[in-house]
Amino acid sequence: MTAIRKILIANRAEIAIRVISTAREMGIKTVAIFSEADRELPFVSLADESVCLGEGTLAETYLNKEKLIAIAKQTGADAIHPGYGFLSENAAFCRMVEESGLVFIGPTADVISLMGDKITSRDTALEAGVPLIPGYNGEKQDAATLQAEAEKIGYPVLIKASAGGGGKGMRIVERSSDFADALEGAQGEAQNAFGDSRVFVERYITQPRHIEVQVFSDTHGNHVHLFERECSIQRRHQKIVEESPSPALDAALRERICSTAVNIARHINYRGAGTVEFILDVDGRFYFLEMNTRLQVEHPVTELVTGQDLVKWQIIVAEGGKLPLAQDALRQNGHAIEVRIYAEDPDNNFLPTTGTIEHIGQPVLHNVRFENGYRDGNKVTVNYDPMLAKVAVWADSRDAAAKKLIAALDDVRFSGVKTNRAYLQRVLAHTSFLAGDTFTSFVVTHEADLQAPALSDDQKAELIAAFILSGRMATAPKSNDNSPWQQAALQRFRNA
Amino acid sequence: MKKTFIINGEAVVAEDVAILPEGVSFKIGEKTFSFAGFLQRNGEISLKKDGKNNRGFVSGKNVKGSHHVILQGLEASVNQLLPGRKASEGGDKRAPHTAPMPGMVQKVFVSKGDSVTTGQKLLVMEAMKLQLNIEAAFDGVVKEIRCNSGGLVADGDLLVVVEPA
Repeated sequence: MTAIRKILIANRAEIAIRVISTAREMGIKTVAIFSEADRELPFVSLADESVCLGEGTLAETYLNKEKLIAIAKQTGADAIHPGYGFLSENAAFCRMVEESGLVFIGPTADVISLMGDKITSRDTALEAGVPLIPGYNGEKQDAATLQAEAEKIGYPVLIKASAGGGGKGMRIVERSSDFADALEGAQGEAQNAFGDSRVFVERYITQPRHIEVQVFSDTHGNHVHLFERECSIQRRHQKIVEESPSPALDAALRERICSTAVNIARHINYRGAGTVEFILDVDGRFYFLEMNTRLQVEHPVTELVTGQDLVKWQIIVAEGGKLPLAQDALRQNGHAIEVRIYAEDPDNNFLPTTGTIEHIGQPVLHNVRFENGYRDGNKVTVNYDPMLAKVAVWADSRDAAAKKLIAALDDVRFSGVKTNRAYLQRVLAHTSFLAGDTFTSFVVTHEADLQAPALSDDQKAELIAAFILSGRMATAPKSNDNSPWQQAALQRFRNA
Repeated sequence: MKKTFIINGEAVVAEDVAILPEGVSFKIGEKTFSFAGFLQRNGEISLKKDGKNNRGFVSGKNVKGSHHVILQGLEASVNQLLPGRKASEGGDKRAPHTAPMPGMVQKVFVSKGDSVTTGQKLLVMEAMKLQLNIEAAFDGVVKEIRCNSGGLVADGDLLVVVEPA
């Protein structure tokens, strides 16, 4: 065991703050690194030390491996926490960190490369006895072979152009008798669109759900899971709502999917925090999707239902310690739901929004986590990820958690930069969400229901009243019309 | 006192607007609304009506010339229509051929001196994996190109100057 005394955080915004908070609790010092553009963000002042990376592109700043390691050395840090995104799944960075004598808070470089590659990660899953979506991707492309493969896979199947994309050369086939016609159509389309008629055939997943399992491993051969998260509510493959437990699992299926994930971790002799992602079909069959070899954005829902601090676990494992709890001591209590607040306009095709955040309204309900990377006055630009914050709640039931999160989001007001807040509230209030009918197609299926309803007269009146009271109404030229104190009606506040 | 507001691009007329020491009242159509309310020093506004409280903020003018009003469970862009101006001039109405979002210009399809017709694709820009075409808002001649393929532009930047035919 080597105690970690100082951690350099190779990340920014909310996840940097997340790591700082646990490090402080454990009496560990932190070093923040920041680009010039991020100078005013709160993580910069929250860390014990902070070092500016200067101006420039991501590659010149947050992704500049040599520079980050040099700063870690200069500041006397003994470990690097990569957060998520950025260099968190970069095997070369991990290797450089360890070769320079520092501790990488994450798995080994070999495991990162193994699970980061689509082909080797799928092979690994197969070796560990974990099912993949059944499919045929072979060289033989005659109709008889393909049909025979389809029969083996089992209907419904999806025929997809090997060269493809964008739905061209794609067919869903429900039954054997339709296969020949569908294949001919798909091959013709593929030939026209890509000049390549080759196709592959795989099981078509009806009503798929995204289920992932949080795993944790130490360097003493202990591997556990901290139960599942369901993240089926996604927009353009970006998760927006995450919860634990999943409404789709019963105890038996939960046990199977979670122990399958642990089998993978054990098979690859994993280290630290990882997430094994699965697709679950409507009949309770699940298939390996990928493994993320880092802390996930949505880790707070797991923390809320298990009562554990996953960053603390990461640090303990990185120090060479044993996992704090054994499998049978871990419990999944109550229900947690998290949403991601993005700077985007749901009423305008989800275009990114930018500008200055004038005020941030804070949640005030009990057991609400507001993981926020920004503070009043910060600018939101397109240079970085549009996720501003996450809001996660805990309650004793799923219904109560959804209701509470809707209420909590009322308080979370980013003034000056429009966010997806109201859209998230509509998702959480949707009858299909509340019924647990959460499939990866959710936001597309319910697109019409999720649109903002027209403003009622009462709402218009509220907006107008707020606008008048704000003192921001235009007045005669030359006056200081931005100052609320210029309004006659507000005279009594001037001397307040 | 009558005032016109543009809420999410739609004109709403408030009549008999009275700003009182304890709040504000006005009429929309035949319906009278009166709110008790106050502004706190941090900019938070409290609105009370029929025993219900709402709280929120009103931002300064953004690049689109409107204010972001955000309350609990309700947000919109709001602007005041000044006397003598048309409703179409208020709110989020943008100048033609400006960037609707910050991002990168992928490709410019026209050159200086080109004649363009309404709806013709002038350029395509990209931000956050989204592609957006900027089309000619009217028939005319391209006077100036104010961006380059591959260049970054800010929200609201004028990209192409077109002189109406």
